[in-house]
Amino acid sequence: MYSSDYFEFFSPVKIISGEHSLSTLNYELDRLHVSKPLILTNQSLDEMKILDSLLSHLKKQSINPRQIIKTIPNQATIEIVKKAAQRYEELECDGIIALGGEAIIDTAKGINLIISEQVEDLKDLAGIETAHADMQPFIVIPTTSGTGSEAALTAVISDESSKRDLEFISSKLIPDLAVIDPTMTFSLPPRLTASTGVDALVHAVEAYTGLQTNPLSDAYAFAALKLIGQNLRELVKDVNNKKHRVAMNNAAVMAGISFSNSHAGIIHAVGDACEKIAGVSHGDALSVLLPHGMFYNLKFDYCRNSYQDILLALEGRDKFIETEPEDRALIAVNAVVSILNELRSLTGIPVTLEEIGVKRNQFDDIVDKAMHNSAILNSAGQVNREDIKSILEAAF
Amino acid sequence: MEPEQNIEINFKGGFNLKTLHHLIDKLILSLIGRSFIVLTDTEPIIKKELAYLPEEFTAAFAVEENAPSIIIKKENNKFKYYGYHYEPDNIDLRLYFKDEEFAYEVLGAKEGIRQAFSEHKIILEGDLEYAVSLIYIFEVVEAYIMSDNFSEKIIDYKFKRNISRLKLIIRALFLYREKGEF
Repeated sequence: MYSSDYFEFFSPVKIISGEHSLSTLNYELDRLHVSKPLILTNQSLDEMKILDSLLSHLKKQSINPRQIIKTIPNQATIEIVKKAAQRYEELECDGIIALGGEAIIDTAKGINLIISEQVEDLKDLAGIETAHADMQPFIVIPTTSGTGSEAALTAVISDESSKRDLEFISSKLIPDLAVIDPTMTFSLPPRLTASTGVDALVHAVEAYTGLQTNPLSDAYAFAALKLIGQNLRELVKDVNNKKHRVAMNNAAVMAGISFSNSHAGIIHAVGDACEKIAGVSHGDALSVLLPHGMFYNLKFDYCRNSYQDILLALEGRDKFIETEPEDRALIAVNAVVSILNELRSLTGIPVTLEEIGVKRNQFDDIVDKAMHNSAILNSAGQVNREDIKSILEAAF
Repeated sequence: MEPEQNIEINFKGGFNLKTLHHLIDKLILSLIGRSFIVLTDTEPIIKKELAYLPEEFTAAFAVEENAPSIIIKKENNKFKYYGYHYEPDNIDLRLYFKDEEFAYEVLGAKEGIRQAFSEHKIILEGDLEYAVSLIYIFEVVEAYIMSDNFSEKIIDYKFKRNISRLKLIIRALFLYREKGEF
């Protein structure tokens, strides 16, 4: 297989992580010259007083209630982005704060595109590196660790009129600041903690084995895997443990930086397709598909080499040394399977596609969708329809 | 005096090479565009991807942002090739390289388009699902045009030719197109 030494790596986001991170918000808003931010969140985060927690750290700013949009849905849509962008302009806001998970962060990215690029229709900016203007100051406060959206250059926004998801990939979408405060993710229950942790695990694994794997993203992926190996199971057993929570939040952001630069691959492509065709949850689909995608990649030399590093990161030096070099890749997959099995016994995360509601008669549509996901182009080898079908059969 | 001479020599060398690469890029891109049409009748992967694209779908390929694009359009479930001199109002997908040298790597059979895409060397304006379709087609066409060695080693593509390279190139060169190309 052809390989190249060319790579691009870009990660300009300032990350503030750990206890009391939110306390720096006033200083950071001053630094970014933001005095009137538009705040995006949802109803649940409001009810859980997470929004109050944020507002208590913004005492220096006088926040008009209209600056807060609490109705961001679970999927970013063109319509909501447009409405929020109108509010931004009407109130003459000068920055965006996204408080929440991936949908809220993607909505904020869409608003930033519309405002900064001054376009009427967001659809005109779909694609790769279509944005060129200076962007508005953009702060992300993630409440679910796992997605890595706070450091990612991608946004997926649904166009309900055409029933299509539009992908936006641009270095301009990366936030200026990500504040990763453990108090914002403490409320995640064990099942969701497990699921978001697996999401981060998939990002790190795929970043290691994509066509654009490179020394910088490998370093982030390795560090993320090490933290995941040491903390994910412990955190699921004790979701209020601050040390493990901070570690997993850091793992998620590092995995996000890593996959944002070296891309996701076959596991994500098939997972996204299952989500779109069968309506299953993203995290559940990835949990099921992860070991099968890794087994598929074992046939490629460079993936086997990368998996050796994954073994070292997840299981530590002793296990790595005592394993024969030719067995390390397979043992790495086993290490991932053992994490998943433990999470299943702790929280009931699924292990088959059937269990999460995927039907065998949906396979053809899932294959079609996965084959047209751009992540599939970054996966090892020339993935074809039969490869995806075999993964689906194995995972069913 | 000496440094100036060096600059001139380097400049001349670079200029000539760039011009040559530009000509090769333009020629190969045109050949690829024409081969889209020829191979649609014989290659099942292209037929399948064509079916995935909406009717009237129009795509533009160029070697860099401001370079002329070749235009391909789906009309009546077939591809039509419009060459370099047709500029439709509505282009659904525009694909070009960040720099013409990156285009040369792909069009000059040094690197597969999939690898170039992964390495962020390609800019895409439009729906990425459709872009993936066109990249598959591009890959098949490139495999047909280039040597088997390139197909297997560079783009990792193993396939059975349904038409010989010579036959394809001759048919592509004599292909009817809507507008003048050069």
